[in-house]
Parts: sequence; C-alpha cells; structure tokens
Amino acid sequence: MKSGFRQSMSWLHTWGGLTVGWVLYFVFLTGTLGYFDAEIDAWMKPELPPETANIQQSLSTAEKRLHEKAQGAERWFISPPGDRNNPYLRVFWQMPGADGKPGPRVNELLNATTGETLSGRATGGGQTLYRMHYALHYMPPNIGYWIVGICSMFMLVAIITGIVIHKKIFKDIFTFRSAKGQRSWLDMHNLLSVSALPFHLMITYSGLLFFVLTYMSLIVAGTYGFGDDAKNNFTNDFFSEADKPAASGNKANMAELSAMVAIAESHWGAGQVRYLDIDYPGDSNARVTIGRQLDSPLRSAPELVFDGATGELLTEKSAITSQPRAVYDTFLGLHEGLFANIGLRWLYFFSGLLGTAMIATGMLLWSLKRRPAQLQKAGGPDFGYRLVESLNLGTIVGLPIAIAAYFWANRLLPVDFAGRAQWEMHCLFIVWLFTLLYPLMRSINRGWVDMLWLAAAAFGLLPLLNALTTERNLFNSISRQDWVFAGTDLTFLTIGIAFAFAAWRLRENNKTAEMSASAASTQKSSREIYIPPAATTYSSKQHTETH
Amino acid sequence: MLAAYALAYCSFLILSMAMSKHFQQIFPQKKMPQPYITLVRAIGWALLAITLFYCSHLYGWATGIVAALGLMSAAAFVLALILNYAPRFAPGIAAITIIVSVF
Repeated sequence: MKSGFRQSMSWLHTWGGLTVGWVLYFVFLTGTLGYFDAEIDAWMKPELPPETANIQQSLSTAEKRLHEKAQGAERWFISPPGDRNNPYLRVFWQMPGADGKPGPRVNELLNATTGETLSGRATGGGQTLYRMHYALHYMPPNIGYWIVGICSMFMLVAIITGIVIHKKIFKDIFTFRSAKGQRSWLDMHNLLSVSALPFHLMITYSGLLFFVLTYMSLIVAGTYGFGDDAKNNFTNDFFSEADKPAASGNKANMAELSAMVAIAESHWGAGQVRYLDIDYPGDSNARVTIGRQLDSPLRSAPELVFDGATGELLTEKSAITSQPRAVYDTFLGLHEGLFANIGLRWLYFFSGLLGTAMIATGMLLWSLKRRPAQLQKAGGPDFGYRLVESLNLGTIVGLPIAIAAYFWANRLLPVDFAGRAQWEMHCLFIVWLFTLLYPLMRSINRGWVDMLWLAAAAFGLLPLLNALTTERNLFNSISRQDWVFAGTDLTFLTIGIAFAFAAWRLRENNKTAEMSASAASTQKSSREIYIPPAATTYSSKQHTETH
Repeated sequence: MLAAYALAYCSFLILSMAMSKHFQQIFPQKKMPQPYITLVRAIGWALLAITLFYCSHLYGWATGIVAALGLMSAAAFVLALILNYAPRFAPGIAAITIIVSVF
C-alpha cells in the first residue's frame, strides 16, 4: 500500500473494486432487470392473457376457492389483480401446524373469471432472475446473502473511496472526451458514477439493510438475547404484530368481504386495495386486514382492520407505526421501487444500467491501465492479467448473452419437458460458462468483437423467436395495445442494436489500430506505438513484432 | 414527466454554460463575459430547484424527490454525451425537448 491518504484510497478503490467486480456486475445487471420482473414474467408466460376482471368478481372467485380448499386454515391472503405488481389474482393459505411445526402453505394464481388455477408453461420468469441478485443460484440462500452482502460492502467502500479520489468531481461533471484512449474510459467511468451517484449510494446502502438482521444479528441479541423467543419478541416489537387476538375456537360465519372492500375503497379510492389478509377465517375472532397500494417510497401502507365475523371496522392503522421502522421501510421501498409508475420505473432501470456500466468500465480500466506495461513483458502478459482480461470479456458481454439464452430457453424448451423451469436457468449458466471459456480460444480483441456480435444476435433475434413460437408477435402486440409484450420485444431489439453498434465500432477501431501498428513497425518506431484502448491490440503476432 | 426532464436538462445546460470550457464547446466563437457567469450559474441552480418543486408537485414530496434525482441523473448523462459528440446542438435539443413536452 502506498502512503498518503488519497493514494491509499486509490489503492483501495482499485483493488477492492477488482476483487468483487464480477459479482457486483452480476448483482447489478440481474437487479436492474428486476425493475421489470413482472413484465418479464408476462413475456415468459405468453399463454396467459392479461387479467381484466374487476375487484368484486376477483373477490368472489377467491372466496369460493378458499372455502373449497382451505377450510380451517390459520390464514388466508388474497391479492386482487389489476396492478402492475399483481397482474393476476393470487390466493395464499396457511394450514394450522402440529407438534410445533408450521402447517402446509399454498400459493395459487387464479383466473379471476373462471376460477381455474393459471397454468401456462413452467418458467422461472422474471422472479428467478431477480432473486439471483441477492440470493445467487446453486447455493443455500443464506450463503448467497452473505456473499452478496460482503460484495455490497466492498461496493460501498468503492463508491466512497471513488468520491474521495475524484479531485474534480464538480468541475468535470459534464466532461466526456471520446477517442482519447484511456482518458475516455476514465471520463466515462467518472460520468457514469457521478451522474447517478444518488442512485448508487442509495441502492448499495439499502441493499445492505435488507439483510441487516442476518449480517448483524448480534445487535438484536444484545438487547433481546438468543433463541427463538428472543427472535419472536424482537419481531413483534419491530413489526408491531403483537396486537392480534388469538383464535377463540368458536365457529362463526364470515361477514361479507366485498362490503369491507367497499368501505376500504370509499376511504382510499377505487383500485387502491392491494391485499386482504384474513386471520383465523371462520373463527369468531377472525380479523380481516385490508392494505392499500404503495404510492410512495415508504414500503408499508395504511391498513384497515375489520372484525371478520361482524364486518365492523375496528382500527385504521397508519403506514408509519414507529420511526425506526419507517426509516427502514423507506430505504427498502426506495431500493425496490414498487411504488414507481412507468416513467419512474424506466428511470430506475436506466440508473441501474448506469451502475452496471460503471462497474464494467471500472474493471476495463484496471486492465487498460496495465496493458502497455504487460505487452512489454518478455514472457508475455502475466497470468493474473490475462485472467482479469478474460473474466472481463466473459462477464461484461458474456453475462448478457447468458441472460438472452435464458429467454431463448423459455421459448425453445418443450412445454411438457420435466424440470423445464430449472433447465432455463441451467441454460443461462451453461452459456455463461461457455462465454467465460471463449476468451481462451481467441485473441482478446477478436474475442470482444465476436462476443458483441453474438450478444447483438442473441437479443436482436428474440422478437423474431417470439413471433415464430407464439401468437403474440410484435405487430399483434402493438395493434392490441399490449404494451408489456410490445415493450419487452422492442427493448430486446434495442439492446440487440446497441450491441451490434458496439461490435461494428470496435471492429473498425481494431482495423485502424492494426493498420497503424503495421505502418509503425515498418518505420521501425515500434516502441512508441500508440495503442488506442478501445482497440487495444495484443495478439501473439503483434507481441512478437514489438519485441 | 417529460416536462420535468426538459427542466432538468435545461438546468444542467445552463449550469454547463457557466463553465468556460463547455461554453466554448457550444459557442466556439464567443466568450462569456465574466460578470454574467455568476448570473447564469444562479439561473441554472434556480431552475434545478424548480425541477425539484415541479416533480414534488406532480408526485408528492416523497416520490417527487426520487423522480427528480432520477431525471437529473439521466439529464446530466445525456448532456455530457451531447457536449462531446454534438456540442452545438445542445441548446437546440433543449428547445426540442421543451416543445415536445408541452404538446
């Protein structure tokens, strides 16, 4: 480590960032896609038409199903369709447990008109993709939380050290100079970091808060002690869930849920009911809690609590039950962006892409800075350097290709194939493995061009694949004003075009670099070859030429 | 939301014009007289504040701040790209964004 505050911070930024950069890139990219999880879900189940039933119809369907299937349950939960976050009618029930073990829990999506359970093809959908950004895959969730948590901590350190070492953070805020080699990459890295700095700080810090009770469990233990009782006491205090009465054991008929929903809608307006949570249905102490839609970053919403047997409105709970809880919920709400309308959702997505690109440019800078010195080495570039270079290519372009493969698998795997949903994800990781190995077979510059073209094809052809395998092609979607489907197809097309543009530019740059390199070597001034970083040229051929 | 974006973009455009290197990118022939710089900068900051107020007027304070910050990130990023690739069009793009957002 070097002396001097700024130098030390710079060292930490460089090496801390490099160590976890690839995991962070994975977390940021899959997390960014999570802002469109429901839209991806819809695209990956093309058999399901959008739900159009109103809330009263959905409610009677849900009640019928629950009476049929979940008599004697401890808890029912109904979330009516219509909202972006809940496109379909969902019911959930929890049966009473025995011998201290919790009873079975069932989650179902229903057609709100016919009452049939929604089937469609088995798929991981946008949810599995999104879930990976905090729990990873192929490992128990708890281990995933810890790995992502440690990497997020590095991220926070990288952001703060980055602010410290950026001397001209205000002066250079609008500065980007293209075609200036390594300078351009540093400019772009700074621009991506500073323009969306509020987002980067918020997303990283709040990301750590999600599992703060896992990472810092001893803080709770310090006040509440160890064991299950202590855990329950803390949960009751923090989430203020202690005021619910226990079941009386006396049977009573349920009051009309539709009347309670009508009261809730008169309080909040039509379409504002997000869920009905029913404790001890059919018991004389049944409680029906109706929650409102989220319309602000605060992740909790006001609730109305009804007596389930009489239908009487008992209490109105405000969204804020305690100050610490409100702070916690606001950070979580800001992170998830469930409250965001379509415009704000795109801004979240765009900010996420800026963050992903910030990580990518940071990792590229590490290798670009070292490339000239590495090319001068007698035995060729070091193993460590080449490893970073290959991992960069295999992750920065490879992971998007792998994600495209996940969508391809969704359309191409046979619908009745067992383990279909799991195989979609296996396809993602198999393709990613291939893209990680690919740089070993090709020179790094050619590898970049090849992989960018592959990414362009993988995304650009997805709308075509969708048109060939489903009825819901782009033209049909636009004419039916099905913006979820049309938007997804158009986004894939745009990503494909962007990758194609990058591939074309890089190939042009490589050509000019090769020409100038051969011209320079004939002039015998090969020591001073200017290597444009976007087109940095190290292939074994040129390597021998320089020496 | 597009109107709010236009506001954010204009704020940053004006703030960038108060910086001599960007002013010269946009108007290569001219030079901003020294006394105006403070005034231009003040207008830029005021417009940025108006962006924030406008967003909170649209969506309420909590969501408005989130929207304003998101729009500012996008506007700053886009402006930096325009200043590099097509600096002379930066004011024209502002005008087009305003017109589109009004209609």
